[in-house]
Amino acid sequence: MTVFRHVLLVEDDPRDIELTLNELKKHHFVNQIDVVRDGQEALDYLHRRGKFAGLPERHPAVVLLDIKMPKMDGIELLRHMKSNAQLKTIPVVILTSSKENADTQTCYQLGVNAYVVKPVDFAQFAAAVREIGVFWVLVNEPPPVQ
Amino acid sequence: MPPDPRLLALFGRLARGAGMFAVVVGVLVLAGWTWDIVLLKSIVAGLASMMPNAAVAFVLAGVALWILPAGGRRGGAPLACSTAVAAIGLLTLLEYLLGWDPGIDRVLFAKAVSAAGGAAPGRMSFAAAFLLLLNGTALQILALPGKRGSAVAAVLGFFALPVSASAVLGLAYDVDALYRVPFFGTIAVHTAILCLVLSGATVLAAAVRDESSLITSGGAGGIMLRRLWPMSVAALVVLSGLRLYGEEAGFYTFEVGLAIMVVLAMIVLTMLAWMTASRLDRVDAARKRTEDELRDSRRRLEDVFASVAEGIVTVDEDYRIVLFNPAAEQIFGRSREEMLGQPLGLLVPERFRAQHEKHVRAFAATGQTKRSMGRYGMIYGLRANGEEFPIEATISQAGTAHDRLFTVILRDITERRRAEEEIQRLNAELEQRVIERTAELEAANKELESFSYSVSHDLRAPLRHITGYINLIEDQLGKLDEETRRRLDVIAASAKRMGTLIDDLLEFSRMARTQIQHTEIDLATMAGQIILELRPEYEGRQITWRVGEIPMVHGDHAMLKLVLTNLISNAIKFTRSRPHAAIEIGAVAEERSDAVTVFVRDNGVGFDMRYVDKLFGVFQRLHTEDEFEGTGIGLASVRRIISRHGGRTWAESQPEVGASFYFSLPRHPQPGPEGKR
Repeated sequence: MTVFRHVLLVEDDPRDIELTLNELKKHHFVNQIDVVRDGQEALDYLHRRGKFAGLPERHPAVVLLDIKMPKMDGIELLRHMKSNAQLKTIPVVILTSSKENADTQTCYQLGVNAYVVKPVDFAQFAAAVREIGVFWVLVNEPPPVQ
Repeated sequence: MPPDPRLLALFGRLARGAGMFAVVVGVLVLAGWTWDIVLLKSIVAGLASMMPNAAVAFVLAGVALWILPAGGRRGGAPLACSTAVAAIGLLTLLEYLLGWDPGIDRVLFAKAVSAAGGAAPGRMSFAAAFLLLLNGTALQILALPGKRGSAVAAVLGFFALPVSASAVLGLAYDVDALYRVPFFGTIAVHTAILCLVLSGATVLAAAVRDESSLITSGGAGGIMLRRLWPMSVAALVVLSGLRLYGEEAGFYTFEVGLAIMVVLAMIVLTMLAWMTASRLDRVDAARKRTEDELRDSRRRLEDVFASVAEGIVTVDEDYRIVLFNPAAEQIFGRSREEMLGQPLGLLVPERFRAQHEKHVRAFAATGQTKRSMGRYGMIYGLRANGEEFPIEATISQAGTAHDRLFTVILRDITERRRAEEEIQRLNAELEQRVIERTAELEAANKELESFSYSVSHDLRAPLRHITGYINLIEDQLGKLDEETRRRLDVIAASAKRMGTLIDDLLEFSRMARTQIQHTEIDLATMAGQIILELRPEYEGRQITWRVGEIPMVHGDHAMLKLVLTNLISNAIKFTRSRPHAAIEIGAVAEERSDAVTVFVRDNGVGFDMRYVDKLFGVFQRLHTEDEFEGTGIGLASVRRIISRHGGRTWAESQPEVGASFYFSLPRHPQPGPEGKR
């Protein structure tokens, strides 16, 4: 519990960011939530390049990933991460409005760790975000640092 | 008239029989001379004997007669034999006429013949020599190659007949006077008979050879000759003999005898003439009948020939046209008169002629009786105006190797061809149209897919934001007054309902787009599972479930499950006001039908049958949201899925009594309206 864990949220919609952050922060088990607005930015973040060049060398406990985003979308980013030796061990949870079977299938084939459809009802949404946070940050054992 | 083949065979056999008879008698006489047997030499002691050289001549003539009518090769043995016979006759005649004696009379049995004595020992009678010469010469002519001279041989035979008959008659009537004529001299009984037989056989042999002989003619003349002539001659002979014996016995005088004979002869000849005439009449009637039948059958054939729709063209060995029927005239635009005798090639386009003739020739070589033409590709005809046109034809051959006819039966298939081409063109057009339409549909489908993808993402997000921010407001403001709280709840509920609507709509559109995966499905078991899965919807209520037997159906598992879920869920919903709900799922018993009809029946609030048409429409609802919640998409999905399976959906109800929803499914998978995509 004392381990410093942080979460990366990849989401383009500021309202979703606000609601998600609000929910995650409400329960104080996440020290740090970094937000990037599209897949390209997320890659820069994960590879610590560009404006993220100075970041300390550590991976997030989990990446919460939206699918529909400008520039590089979530599936693109997922594909990139899972085919990259350094990034593929990072747990990825798709957090999306999409209920399309095709998307679900693609994501699981690419090796996603969880796929969550954001419920319209806020109470359910809040519950989902909370549970994701608790599970991946507190319950789940991260991969060993190489 | 051509000869009657049966008569030819009979006469041939008779002539050969006569030849055999002559050989046997001749050999017996020679045996008689060898062992001095009077019976064989003279028949009766005291009468003249048959001389050895005459016996040899008869044997030779017999051999010639035996061989000749068999139809074997000419010349050779028969010619040699008959020449020897003629020579023996001629030499003997010369002996008589010139008083010259070359010694041929005593070549055989010299001692015996000398002992018999007489003016010229061993010499046969003049008549015998003469008859041998006649018959020998006639047989010689017949033995020569070729058929010419057969008539001459017949004349010689005919001339020999009465002469030999006179000798036989003389002996039979015992006319001494006849014997005293030097011509006949002392002719032996069997010599006379053999001469008669020989002459008759010569006539027959000549008749067999000569195809135009009246004796063997199959016509009326031949019949008359064969009937009347031998019978009248025989009648005269018999009557004359009777008269002679009667007179000698003193039964009547010469005058009376003559009168009786003339009367009898008149009667017999009249009867013979009558019988012959009646026979000829019958033959004539039969022939006329045959001719009539022939004419009728010919007319019928001609009628057929003239009336058929197919062109009939018959050609001979040289491919010259011998028959050209009216249909052919019409097809080729040429008249019969113009075409008879013309080469068949005239009806075939120039460029196909050589090929065509080769094929006909090949067909002739196969010996098949018929086959369809055009096995080597399409065949064409050529009209008088130079127009080429496609034909369909069969060719047949008939007749003997020397007289072969080829008949081509053909029809002009220009029209059919045109129709076929039109069909092909239309098919191609249709196919093209289908391809275009499919492409359009695919494009529309793609569009729809991306549309629903967008809807799924972008339409739901704002709703979530609405509920999310309401929550934030609530958190921020803490305690709210009742009215504000209610209003915020309404906003949240509306957003939530909007979400449900979007989800249902997307599901509905997915049902239209997803391909049907056919499997065998047990709907009764499926209904049982659904009832269990829906338990949260009727927790605490009293519902009597009945699931009857449902035959196996073919369909998409997920889609049919949605159908049953929607119907059962509806039944649960609309029986909510009933203290004791009864919901039944089962199949309508239909023995013969290819379809299975399934129903879901409840005792709920039902609906007004006036609005039954609206029931299965999208967003169509028969109840207010206050009464029963819902999006109005469930039954639309049901109808869409069932119709995609090739089935039907309908419903019956009585308000406040209950409702029954039906859907039918084909027992076997079939390409329904959207069965194939």
